[in-house]
Amino acid sequence: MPPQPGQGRTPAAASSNSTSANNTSTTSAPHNPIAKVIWEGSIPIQFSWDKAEAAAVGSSAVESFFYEAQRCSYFSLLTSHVRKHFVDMALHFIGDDAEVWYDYEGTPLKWHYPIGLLYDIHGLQASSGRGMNGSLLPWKVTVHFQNFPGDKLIKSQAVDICQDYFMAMIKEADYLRNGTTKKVMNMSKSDQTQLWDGLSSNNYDRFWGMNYKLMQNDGVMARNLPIRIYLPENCPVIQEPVSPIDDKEQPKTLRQILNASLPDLFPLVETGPPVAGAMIHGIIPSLDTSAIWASQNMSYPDNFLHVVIIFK
Amino acid sequence: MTSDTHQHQRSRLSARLSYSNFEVAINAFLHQTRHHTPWSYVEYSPRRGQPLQGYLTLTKLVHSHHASSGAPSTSTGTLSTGARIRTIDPADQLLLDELAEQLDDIPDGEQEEEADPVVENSTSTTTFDYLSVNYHIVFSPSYQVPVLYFNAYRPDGPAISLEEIYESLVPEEWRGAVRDAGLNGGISQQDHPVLNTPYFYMHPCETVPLMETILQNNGSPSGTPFLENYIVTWLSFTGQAIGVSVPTDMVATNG
Repeated sequence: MPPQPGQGRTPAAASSNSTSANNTSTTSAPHNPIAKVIWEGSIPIQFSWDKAEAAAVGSSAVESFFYEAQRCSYFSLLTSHVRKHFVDMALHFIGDDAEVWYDYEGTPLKWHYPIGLLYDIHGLQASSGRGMNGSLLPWKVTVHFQNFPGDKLIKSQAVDICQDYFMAMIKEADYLRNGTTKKVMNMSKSDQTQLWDGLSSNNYDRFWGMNYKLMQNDGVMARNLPIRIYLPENCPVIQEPVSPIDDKEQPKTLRQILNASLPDLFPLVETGPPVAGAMIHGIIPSLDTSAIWASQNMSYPDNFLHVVIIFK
Repeated sequence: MTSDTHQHQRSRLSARLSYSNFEVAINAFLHQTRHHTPWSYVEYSPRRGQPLQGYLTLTKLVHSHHASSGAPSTSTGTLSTGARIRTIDPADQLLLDELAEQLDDIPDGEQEEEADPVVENSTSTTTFDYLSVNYHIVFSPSYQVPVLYFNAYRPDGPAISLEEIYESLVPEEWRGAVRDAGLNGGISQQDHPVLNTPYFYMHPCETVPLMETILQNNGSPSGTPFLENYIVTWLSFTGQAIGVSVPTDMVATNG
């Protein structure tokens, strides 16, 4: 069943020019202003060395490291820059990328979540919505080089483990859309690498040149939409198979999707002021947005729509 | 969600399970294994207002291949029964005695099993080096199959690395296959879907093709307890690779 017209348009339905760049296997990404804006979203972060650790190597007065991080990227991809700054600042200290971890106000940050998702969960939640106007920025994150909390964080946030995790998410998204992972598994090694390379080198064309094929799904309607919903306070993530169409074969709205998982927070008919909103990439879109459209245009690079529930 | 009713009809006999089919399957498995292995059912509430769901857990002691300094390791190959144990701390002995009762029930057909908890006193004073391993069988709503999660801990607390997992839990003859499986090896870590803390897990994407093959080969729907034998069958393949399996006489032999 082909994607619905109007709001169901895929990025590939927009005009595309496939001039090949230096790499003969790269096609230019189709022009999609929404995907581009999301790709370019960034958050200024102020990284400070954990005070106790810094003092222990005689470096109590080390300056913070300021960095403008892509929302769609991962902390693992920043670690070498972060570590370099602190190594340059401190004497007798080398550090190991795999032992580096980050926390925000004492809570270890899951490096396998995209940075923008982490900020929406931790930064904005902590301020109870105050952060919408940017008052929480730069985001103050603490860096640690020791005592990696293996009971709370997946081990070794070295870049190759991050890539493995990222590709596992891409595979899972493919499985949800198609009921098999054949599409991803049949991608050539260089095509798979292009996805990760595009993301890690912040190259929109390189990434979307390959990703649009996954998103467009050969024009076939997805069986299920890859969506993950995050509630506050470290609740288990809600991830349930979600059909893009309702029993009248109409495209579902975000409201219908959220109502199915969280009926108390998202009634189908609002009887009063809403108690909760759904935040994606730092904005709260209208709940009447088509879910397929949101999936195809507002997903993160891992092909999932990560939705953070915000209490109003 | 009504768009799922079509799926429910299909899943009456399908390698992919609905959650309610998973419940049937794990309850059947609990019943089947009640005299053999002490699997437990853990109930939890996904969130307020949702019906309770469950998963299975099992804890085992496994001899570690990272023997402490000075202790001769049993072999660099497959885990063998009857590992040589020297002296044991009294607290550990108590734990071992409790588990010995349960372990004795397992028939000898088991291959990659934990160490025989019989203590031999000797003049050497090396400490017994074992791991406590938790196995969980949890439903994956995305893949609609069971997924085997596990973690292994040293007696003094720290969880072990992926390399140690390969050396202590994965039989030598499986290691190459497991490492080469799929995009990133057959074993990775992710957040446990209920506990939300890091666990190792076996990638589930091969489960559906595997179970579909078995379903085809097991003949007609009528009278074939495919669902009741689902976990036994699935675990006899998946679990072998990391040190948990089912007694061979329990593996389904339908059709």
